[in-house]
Amino acid sequence: MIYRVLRLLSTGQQIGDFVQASDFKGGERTVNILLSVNAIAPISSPPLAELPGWTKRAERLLEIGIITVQEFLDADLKQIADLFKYKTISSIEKWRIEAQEWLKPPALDKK
Amino acid sequence: MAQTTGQVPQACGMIEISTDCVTYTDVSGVFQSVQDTTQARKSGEAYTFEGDKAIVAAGKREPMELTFVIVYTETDAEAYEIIRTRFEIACGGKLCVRYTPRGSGEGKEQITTDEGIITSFTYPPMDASAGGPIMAGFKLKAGGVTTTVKAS
Repeated sequence: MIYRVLRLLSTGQQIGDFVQASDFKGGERTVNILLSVNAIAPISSPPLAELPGWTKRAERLLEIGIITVQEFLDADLKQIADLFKYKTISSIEKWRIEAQEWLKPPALDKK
Repeated sequence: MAQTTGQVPQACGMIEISTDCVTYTDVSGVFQSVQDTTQARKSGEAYTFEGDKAIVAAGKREPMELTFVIVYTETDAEAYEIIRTRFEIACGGKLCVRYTPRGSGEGKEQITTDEGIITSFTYPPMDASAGGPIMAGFKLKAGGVTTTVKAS
């Protein structure tokens, strides 16, 4: 699950950043606490096919049941690398960063 | 408006110090109070012949000079000695302080000073008529504070 940061966090994330449970030592427990004080909020993840330039990539990922950005971010990198016949996961890691970037609201990019 | 239930007691917080502003040490056991937490913003005004009120404008936030009262101890690892050492460094040692009014634990608001300078330090006074522990303290001048929600 992806969450948008609504209040500055002591772990360094700024308002508008995206976080996942894996970003915190406390994992899901920390996420639940932060949700309870409205410091983060869950976001709805769009289908990958909606991302500019991702249409063909989304079609391939559909073969292994990955439809949304969230599912892509949660998926096993190696499995995706195998699907695309990549020897390493470095390209997939770049895609993940790109997918996360598309989730950011444009106004908050102008820092 | 309904009466709030979100009040926070003054006496149940947590306070930490850091000499590198990265790694913090819990000093709740020797700090008594945090004062002078008001930050001002520069402002000015001008008057014109037309109209009856001033024109006002805002400037930058002014630095803060927070006051901390601590218990005097002679233990090297405790706050008094750490802060005295920082104060006595030539040209002034830097210090960061962060405090959590609602105490330790995630999800609570934490106020962290910018890297500050200890502008004054109170060495232990003595009073033959007093019954309490010797109190010391210091003032920390910093550009401001940042409020975050505690997470780990």
